[in-house]
Amino acid sequence: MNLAGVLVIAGLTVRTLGLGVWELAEYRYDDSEYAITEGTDWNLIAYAKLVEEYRHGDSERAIAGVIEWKPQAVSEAIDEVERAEKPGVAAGPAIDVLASLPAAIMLHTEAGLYLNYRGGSAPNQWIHAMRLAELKPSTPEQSAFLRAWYHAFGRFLLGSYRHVEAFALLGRGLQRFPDDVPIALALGQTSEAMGTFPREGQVVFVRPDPSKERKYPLRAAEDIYRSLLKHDPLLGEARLRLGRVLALTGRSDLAVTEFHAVATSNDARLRYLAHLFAGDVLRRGSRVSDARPEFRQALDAWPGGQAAALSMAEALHHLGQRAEAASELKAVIQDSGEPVRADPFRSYSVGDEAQQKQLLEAVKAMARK
Amino acid sequence: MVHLLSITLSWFGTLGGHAADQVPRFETRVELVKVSVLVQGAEGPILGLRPTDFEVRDNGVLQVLDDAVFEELPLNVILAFDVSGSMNFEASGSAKGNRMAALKRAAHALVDDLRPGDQAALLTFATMLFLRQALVPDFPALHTRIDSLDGEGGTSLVDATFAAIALGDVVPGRVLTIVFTDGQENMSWLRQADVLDAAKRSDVVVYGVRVGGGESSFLDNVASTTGGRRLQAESPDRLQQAFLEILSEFRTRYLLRYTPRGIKREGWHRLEVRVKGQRAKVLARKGNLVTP
Repeated sequence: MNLAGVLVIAGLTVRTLGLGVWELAEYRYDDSEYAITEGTDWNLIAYAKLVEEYRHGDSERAIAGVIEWKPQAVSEAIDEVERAEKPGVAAGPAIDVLASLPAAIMLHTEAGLYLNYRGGSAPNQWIHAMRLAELKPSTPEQSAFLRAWYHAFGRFLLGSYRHVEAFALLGRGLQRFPDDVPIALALGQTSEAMGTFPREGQVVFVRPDPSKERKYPLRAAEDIYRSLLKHDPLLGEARLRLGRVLALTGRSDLAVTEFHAVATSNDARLRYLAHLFAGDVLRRGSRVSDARPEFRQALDAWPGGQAAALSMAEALHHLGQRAEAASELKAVIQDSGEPVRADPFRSYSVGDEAQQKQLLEAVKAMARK
Repeated sequence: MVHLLSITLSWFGTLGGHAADQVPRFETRVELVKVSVLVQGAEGPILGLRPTDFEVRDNGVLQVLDDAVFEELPLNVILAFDVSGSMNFEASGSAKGNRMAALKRAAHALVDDLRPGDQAALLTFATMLFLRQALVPDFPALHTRIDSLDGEGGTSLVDATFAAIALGDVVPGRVLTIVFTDGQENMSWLRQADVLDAAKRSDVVVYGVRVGGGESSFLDNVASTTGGRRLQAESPDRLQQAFLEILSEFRTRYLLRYTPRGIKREGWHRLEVRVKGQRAKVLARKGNLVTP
């Protein structure tokens, strides 16, 4: 499957998810504290006021308000906003919402985040956000927001193990912004996660014929990384991840070559992961003596890296050097009471939680300008 | 699993008066195998057995036991606890109760049940592993560490199981590891197969304890490989009972030791342990793996 194929599937998935929710939305709007004048398009007016309140006023109150709305009422309001995209629509609430498009998108994104945290039905809100995100940005600022939103929200979904939704969203984001490297990397990472998760997805490693379910996402990831490297051969993250996909699909020698190319990076995280993964490939091939120096270099690059120390300890234990194995482990797991530097491997598949929060905060700030 | 007793066999030639550096020396390794065994009769554990009461076969070859120790050796207990974010959940329905609070109660009760001479260590795992307390006979320190536990992050069950085994393997004497988890593996780096191999090479006996549902074949496999077993606590409140049951059961286990004879050193050693002349159920590890 090539990159275009990935994007078509992602686009279809967005639409399928959307229709599934919309068809179920049979509620009718019957009451709202925002209803103002009978006979006017009060639904849209109230919706525009909510968006405005989110943007300039009490965002929490706006979020609470939109959650109370029936999905059909929100959907009808968004219908009106979509119609307002066409030329010749007079100024009014729909145009106001279009002018505050980032706020409208974030209103539903945050409402979904709130519901997600509380165990509610977050996708209903997120579908609204995705639908609004389909509208054409009217300013460079809106365009910049949309890029950032696809990336941030996609990474959040990935970090929440919502791989299919992340894949759909990021795929659509890349379709709209084909030059966006962060979105492309996040989409590649999502595809990789779909091909390897849960961790016992490592069975791909030893299966001569990985199931289609895992094989296709890995192929998609490989296509994305190769595309990125074609444009920028020095993009270390893409090269590292390409190496990982090659390793997972049994092309060990090619993988090690990619890892060694990344191992000279100035980025300690990349160096750590490159040596760790190279060592892992060699260990899989029963080349324990070749693997150990890789694990050692990984630890040199990132002192305290637990994955590398675990691998080193496992190799030593395998060789019967138990005291050395225990010593390697103790060096990285002993609780000193000091804050511990997270092992980059732990965030390799689904991303770093702190970074995901930061990205969401950044798009919130952009939407509330 | 295998402790190397490096025995140097020196062969002194008959060429009297030659310098020592001319004396040929041959080295060999004699490996003492330890097997922790639980013998259960209809009324519970059968105690008071002697070495001659056991029949141990290593790859089908009958072995002569050096000894069968019971109760005399202090325990070394390694507690490996899941402190992932889900431990903060309030379980509902029949499994109601706060998991972390229940884990702490159970851990305190277990430490209180340790005896003078016993030692315990505390390893926790979530996204990262931490050795909160190295193996010490300092029980007040352990209580303090247990009180400070908090839940956050993913579940590195496979990594933690390996760490507990690797740390236990350098401890002389009887080593019991209790691996507790409430969730599904989702963070580990090491492969299950590699950790199972480590378990096959190890002397450590692993008992697994789970609360909540979900797949548990990894823990089952590690436990049965090492001669332990996996207990399911139907609710957090049953954890204490499970921990104390394990400790009590482990104290009734025999530690059999023999020096392998008549078999090839390397490879998988299938172990069969039975008690002569008695109807008894014997729980012991399935074998041991000796790597070159």
